[in-house]
Amino acid sequence: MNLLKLEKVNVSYDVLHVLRDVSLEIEKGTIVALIGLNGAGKTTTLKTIMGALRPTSGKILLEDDDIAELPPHTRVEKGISLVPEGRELFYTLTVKENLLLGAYARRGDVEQRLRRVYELFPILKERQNQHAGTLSGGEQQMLAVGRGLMSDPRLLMLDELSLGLAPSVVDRLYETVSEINSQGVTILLVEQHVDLALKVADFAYGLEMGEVTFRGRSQDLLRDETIKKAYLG
Amino acid sequence: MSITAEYVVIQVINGLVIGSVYALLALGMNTVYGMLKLINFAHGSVVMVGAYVFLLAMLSLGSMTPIALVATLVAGGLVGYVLELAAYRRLRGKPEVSLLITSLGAYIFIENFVRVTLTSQPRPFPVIPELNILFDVYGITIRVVDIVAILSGMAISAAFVIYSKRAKSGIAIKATAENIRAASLVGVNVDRIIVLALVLGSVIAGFTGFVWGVKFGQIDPGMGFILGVKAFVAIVVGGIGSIPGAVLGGYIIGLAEMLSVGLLPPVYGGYRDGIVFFILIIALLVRPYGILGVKESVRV
Repeated sequence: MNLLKLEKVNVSYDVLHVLRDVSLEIEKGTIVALIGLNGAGKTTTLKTIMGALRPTSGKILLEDDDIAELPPHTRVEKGISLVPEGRELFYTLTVKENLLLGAYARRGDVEQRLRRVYELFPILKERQNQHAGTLSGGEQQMLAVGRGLMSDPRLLMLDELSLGLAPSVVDRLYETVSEINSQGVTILLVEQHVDLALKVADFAYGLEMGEVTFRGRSQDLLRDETIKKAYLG
Repeated sequence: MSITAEYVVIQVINGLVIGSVYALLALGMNTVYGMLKLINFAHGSVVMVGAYVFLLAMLSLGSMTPIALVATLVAGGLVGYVLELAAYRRLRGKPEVSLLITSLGAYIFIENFVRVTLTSQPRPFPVIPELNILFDVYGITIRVVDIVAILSGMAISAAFVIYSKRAKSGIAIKATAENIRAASLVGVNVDRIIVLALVLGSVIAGFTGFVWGVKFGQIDPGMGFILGVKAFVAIVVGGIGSIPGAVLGGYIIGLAEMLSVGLLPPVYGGYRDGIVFFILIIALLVRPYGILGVKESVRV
């Protein structure tokens, strides 16, 4: 059962054609990774699913709904959430205010979601009244993930969680990602460390110059000689 | 004329009154600047529209102050709403300078619309007897309007600060002002929040038109421009992006303006606007991100 399906999605920035006929299937309950070099179109794919970019053609199906024309806030309401590249926190707002904003579009038991986030990241509870700008890089990334969870998403998209963080912090973050997934949240992640991405993910898609060039189960891809050469050195 | 303690106190009161007006205008301009990166010159015209709507409502309704005041607030909000829908929304994602020119054009249109349909001459503002009562405190004569202006300025400012901390929509206004793209991504309907911020700010601006009219007793179609500019100076001095900073900046500019006019020899009276911009220059040299502003470097 697919939660999200992209059918021949094309996206252009002005004259630049950045996604070409991208088709993806994300099965409910799984972790799917998008891998590829810088500029391959990974972040663009996530932004298009979120609605920050509109495709020039193609379908984006959330279960059976085509959501390709909806604005981002309606997609959040429908259960999609993005932890953007570079975190994009509200640095002059407090940790708690950032988290509450994550719940803005999706009504429901906000207190319970807050408790869940604080259980996953106890440090955020300690720092809930501090400005987000005063947190360390790792804490900021935790806050970004927590904010993404506050809408109680069905699909959580993570863009470059590891960017600029120490390896030990990255490992802890990905442990939490697995934990979130085990609570039933489907995850689509973009990660420049391909080995890390393939270890966490069940399934992966490879993007090159805006096109899907390979797909497969992560464990098969980890053994694939061409992929090893291209991405793992 | 010798400068007595009473005289200084009166100038401080006057400074707090116009400081309240600057602070209230700065509240609205500050959030809009954050969201649209727009110095909303048209905000000043809302003050003038508010003052004229009050005048017209009093004339046509026969001095029903509360009803005229409600009409003033509604008219102010309406100007903000129409500006957003008819002009600013169409320029989303376009160069910021287009927005700036549009806002300036809207200001010029509104001012001249009033000149053409009403009059270019200054008009006396309706006298509200309750607000003109004088009373004596230790030999200092104060008008009720001074107290009302200062208290309402402080109360509305405080209410806005609390609103932006406690209410869901208030937090969303702050978030959208800081980073509109991120606000949209996390699920804030930013178009709706921009309307809310413009309407709220414009209702408050309409109210300042009423306060200004009662305080100075006379209004004219060109009164709004310099008020909007000074409110923007207040934002820069107080710290762009900071709501308490905008309020603080408003009072600093108001006090500095009135004290310099009052305490310098009368020949310098004509320099009151110049003095405001002199403060701006000093502020930019000493603390370019404002008194309560945040350095941009927090953006990672």
